[in-house]
Amino acid sequence: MRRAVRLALGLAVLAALCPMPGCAARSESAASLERALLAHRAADEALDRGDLDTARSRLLELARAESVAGLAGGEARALRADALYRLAELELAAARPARALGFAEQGLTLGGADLFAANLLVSRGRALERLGRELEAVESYHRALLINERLLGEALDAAGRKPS
Amino acid sequence: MRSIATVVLALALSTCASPLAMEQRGSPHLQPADEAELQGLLREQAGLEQQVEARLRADPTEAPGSEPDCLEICALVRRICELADRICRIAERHPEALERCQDSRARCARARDRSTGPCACRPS
Repeated sequence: MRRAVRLALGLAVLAALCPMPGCAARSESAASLERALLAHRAADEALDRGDLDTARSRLLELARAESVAGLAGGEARALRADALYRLAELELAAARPARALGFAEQGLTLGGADLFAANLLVSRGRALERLGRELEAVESYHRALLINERLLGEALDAAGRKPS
Repeated sequence: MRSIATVVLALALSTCASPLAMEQRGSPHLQPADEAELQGLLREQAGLEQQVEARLRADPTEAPGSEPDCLEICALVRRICELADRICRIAERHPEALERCQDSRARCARARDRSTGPCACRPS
């Protein structure tokens, strides 16, 4: 999942920069995307060192609305949602489900019904499970499942194979 | 994958540098040499995208020789079925969730069926 998100970020950078004559006009969004990739890399490196505080702080910066200035709505939402998903996972790994739940729910308020939202729903479900709110977790997992099912249908359609 | 994203980013930014620099010089039109350079950079960028795709297709978790789309399709099927498993584990303790469990299991089975023809997804 994390790989797919990183790929989406990388390809978003390409998409933002490919129309060469418009490059200068897009420099602000390119800078935002570059900052995002650097923040993810810094968070990865901090996590590799076991430095949760630094990882958390880099991801928190990224999750702030100001960090995605200049980006189109969908890209900005995806970047923030991805950062909040990683924060939720980080808190789950640190055995702090209440904080994880907060990050997941914050991410879900950004809207959308895509891969990023599905990730947040799964984190939300895991946090709820650990808090003993298992029936709520079921609903969260089920919503994530439905999003993935729709994405599967789209992938099959895109591959020219009609669902049975 | 970190490195792929980084390389993609670096190359993307490097392709940006050329026209940016031209704008700073106040040159509104591309000269033939610039066009050739741009074409080269675009070809390089296209090559990188192909490399990214190739790396993804070479994911060892998938069956050898699988179609490019199968990577995504199999990942989605696995995710659907993992979520169904999670739901059903909870339903073992909470009968109220049994309906959700049955629905999710059915969706997992349907996802597997739909992907069986085009892709040889490994069981999760």
